[in-house]
Amino acid sequence: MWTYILKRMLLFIPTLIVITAISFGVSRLAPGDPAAAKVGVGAEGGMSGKSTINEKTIELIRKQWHLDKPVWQQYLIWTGGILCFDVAPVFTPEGTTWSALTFTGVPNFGTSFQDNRPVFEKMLERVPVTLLMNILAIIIAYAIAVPLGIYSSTHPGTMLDRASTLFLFALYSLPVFWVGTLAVNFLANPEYAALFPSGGLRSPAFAHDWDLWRKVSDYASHLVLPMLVYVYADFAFISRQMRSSMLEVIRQDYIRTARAKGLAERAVVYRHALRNALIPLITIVAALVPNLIGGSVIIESIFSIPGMGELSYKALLARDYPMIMAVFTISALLTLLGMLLADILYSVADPRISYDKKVG
Amino acid sequence: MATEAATTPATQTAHVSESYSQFVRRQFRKNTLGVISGYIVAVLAGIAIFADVLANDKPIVASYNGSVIFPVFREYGVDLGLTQWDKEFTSVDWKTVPFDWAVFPIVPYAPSTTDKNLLSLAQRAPSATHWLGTDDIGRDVLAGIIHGSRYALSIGFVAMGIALVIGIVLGAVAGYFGGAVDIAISRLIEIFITFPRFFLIITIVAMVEEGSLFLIMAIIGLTGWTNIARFMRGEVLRVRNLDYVSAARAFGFSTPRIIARHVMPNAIAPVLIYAAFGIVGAILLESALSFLGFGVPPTVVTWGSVLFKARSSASSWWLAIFPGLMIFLTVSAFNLIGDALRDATDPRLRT
Repeated sequence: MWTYILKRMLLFIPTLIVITAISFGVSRLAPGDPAAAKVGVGAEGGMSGKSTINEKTIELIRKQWHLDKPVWQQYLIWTGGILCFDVAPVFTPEGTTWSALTFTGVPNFGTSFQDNRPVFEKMLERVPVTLLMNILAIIIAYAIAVPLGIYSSTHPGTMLDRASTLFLFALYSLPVFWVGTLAVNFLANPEYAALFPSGGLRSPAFAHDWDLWRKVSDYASHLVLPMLVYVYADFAFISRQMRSSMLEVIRQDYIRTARAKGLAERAVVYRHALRNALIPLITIVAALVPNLIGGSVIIESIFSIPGMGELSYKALLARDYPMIMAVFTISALLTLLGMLLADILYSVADPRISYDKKVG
Repeated sequence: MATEAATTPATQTAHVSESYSQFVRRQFRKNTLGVISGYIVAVLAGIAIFADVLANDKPIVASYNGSVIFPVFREYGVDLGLTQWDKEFTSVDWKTVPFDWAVFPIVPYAPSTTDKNLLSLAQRAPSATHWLGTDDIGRDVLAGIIHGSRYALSIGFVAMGIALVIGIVLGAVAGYFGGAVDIAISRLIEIFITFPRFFLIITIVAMVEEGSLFLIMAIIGLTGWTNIARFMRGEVLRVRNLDYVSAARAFGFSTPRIIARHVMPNAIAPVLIYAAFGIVGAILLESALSFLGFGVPPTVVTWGSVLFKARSSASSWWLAIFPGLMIFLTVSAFNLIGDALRDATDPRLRT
């Protein structure tokens, strides 16, 4: 097993090289000079255009972000930074001196164009919120989808089965951004019903000397709507797979055999059918991960939640290249890890799948 | 389709001589929801094709100074550069032109027409003049939705078309040749899957100075072929070792001919089913882009861009409800068609 994991991790390397190269390339797509764009961003309030800006400032910024160096050196400096190396001193105007390479111990994704803060630090602040909400949503979604799928497939044709199938189908076709907009516009709007706050993670008046109950209820009331949207989106996806997977399994010969040899229906469903039906559901975890950041961009920007999605959205609006490249790299890495995790879980859930055989 | 006929139960002698596509069509018709969805898509396509006649600020036909004119159709000529507007009609408010008589479309507004008389929120709400209300600058929502169907469907079909071509070719090549070619293409697929697709698309659209519809179609298509390629590869792997392919090879047919004429037709069914879901994906992606304020230029009205307006004017319920309903309806229809096609081609569900 461990050899397999190691092998897979090694295969990450070429993939990651291509991915970092693409993110680097995409961020250079924008027309014009990034340094000028950066100055344009800094000069909020309408002072736009190079005419008002001192050429020296641009020159300084170009130096600070290594934009004065050739593209391949910029790429090496950037990827080196991610791997905790300080590559910048290597490339001097006099020539390349590899002895100047230093190990810093901290991944460095560069500094944000928006506020000059290290990108990695900004991301670390935001990642927990997004990850927590997503993981919680996935767990809740599975907790509802699995029993519902079991019921549907064991009671085919009943009213509840038909109703839930139709309901699930409608859920599946509902666009996330529409549901989110409806939730904010109708349930968090004094015009119609201000049941919940319209955004953020806590009220502006939030104080640290509040008692625990008040703090928790404040967070909870802010989380209801966004969590609802997250859960429904995951649930619609998972339950659709659950249903088809369960229906597929229940038709198999070994289920008929289990029934024929007189096993109790409970044993047939839970021990024979469910276990096998769950296997395809595991891969879905891997499918949910790449959508994590994309989905968060939509949901977090609707509910103004200070997470990764909102950070990425703002970075896009401000054309904050270092930030955008970091988001790409991190989410690609998360996806790769999600795929690996799914493969490992796969072999745990299904003893027929063993990765060791191939290695040995 | 020898394999298909073999799996058909012997009781179905009446249908033995039918071709595979006839068989799929017959199975499809049994699915009521799928058939209804087919009609919904047909109606949507009709709305998209005749959008200019359904919602336009110009009369369809009118009499002016004794001569009969067709301004809606004249506009096609102007857009194509074949003809020009007469002097009195350049940048004119068509409602004020003293026609002898005029037949206006059912919705007498173009999506970009701004009604400047609407000052309060109450006036912008749905009313007898604006059936589905207007947005904050007085653009008719119904006109926007009618013309938006054009963008939604064309993005769905064009993006899917691009993805299909790339996916089918790469998948077929990978599956047929195997070996190093297969490894290279599979790696490429893996890299594309790993990439956060939605974020990549927003980034490219946000970075490029002027987002255009074609750019969005192209990006969605160029990033959306991975699943098609995987299906195709799997199917080709299955088909390529069947006897009739070996027979074709023994005849000395060229490899492109074997792939195109013998392997492809038998491998393509699951891929085409996926296309229905791919169209859904493309429509949703474009709407989400417009919803976030990226993508199409602000002058273009799409379903997503009307929804984008709903974010800033939270009290205009009509801006939130109607475009979302259209997206939901379209997405449901294509999803149901996809489901129905899948059930129709699934040999285990045959009756």
